[in-house]
Amino acid sequence: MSDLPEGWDSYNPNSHELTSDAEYQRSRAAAAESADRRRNAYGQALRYLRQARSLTQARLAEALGVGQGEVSRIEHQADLLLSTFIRYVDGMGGEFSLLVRFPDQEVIEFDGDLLSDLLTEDREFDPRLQLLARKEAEFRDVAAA
Amino acid sequence: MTLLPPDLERPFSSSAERLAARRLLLKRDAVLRALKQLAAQPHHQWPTGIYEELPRVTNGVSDPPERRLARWAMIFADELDEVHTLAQHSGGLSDSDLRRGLYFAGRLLATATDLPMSMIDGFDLGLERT
Repeated sequence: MSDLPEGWDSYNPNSHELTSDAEYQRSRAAAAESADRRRNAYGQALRYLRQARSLTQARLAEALGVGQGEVSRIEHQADLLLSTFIRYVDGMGGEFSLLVRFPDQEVIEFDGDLLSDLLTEDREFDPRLQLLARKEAEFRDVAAA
Repeated sequence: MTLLPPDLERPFSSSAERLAARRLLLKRDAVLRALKQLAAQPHHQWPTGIYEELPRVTNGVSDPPERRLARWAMIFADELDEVHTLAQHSGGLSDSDLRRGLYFAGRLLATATDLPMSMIDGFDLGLERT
């Protein structure tokens, strides 16, 4: 017996008949639109920050010690590691801090340097995650592909 | 925004949580295999609607879905095999290996679909409807 949940082991992409179902199509379109909105929101926020500092992607890339493509990638990806955002702000000469609000407590502020150190240690801990991250960067380097 | 990479060494708190993780790994592996299968086919043979559903831009540069998916399958071939092996043996995996398989499968799906990790499980290529 297959390990797969019921119906999953018989999948054949060529017998995909339900894409004509109107409700299904609507839900797919809504999910795609939501992802687009989210991607755009990240990119706009980061570009706003960079442009508020009158920095081009090339100048920021120089400050970060990466290629311009890497800055572009950061501004176009749909999800963003906090450590990447901290580095991005640091490259612009800004200071990052994180505020956590609870309704019944005073605001708690985390210093960006502390967070950055913790996150870097965490990410460097697992070499397989590092390899995966390198491959993701390779995948996104369309110009070199 | 992803705050921290997941703690892959954390044991599951209950057998129900572990079972849910296992089922999710199987589901993600099935979607990954379906994507890999698509990558090996000419795109005019893809099911209706799939082409439109996949990203066509990478890093702000035009990147047709068939080329993008073929590159994805090639670059991540080892990881895709590893996830599939883990999924096949998911019943006997340690908690950390199960978490690792689940996380890697999520990252591979997020890269293929250009969706954030929080949305990847809504992308199923219609598998749940077949």
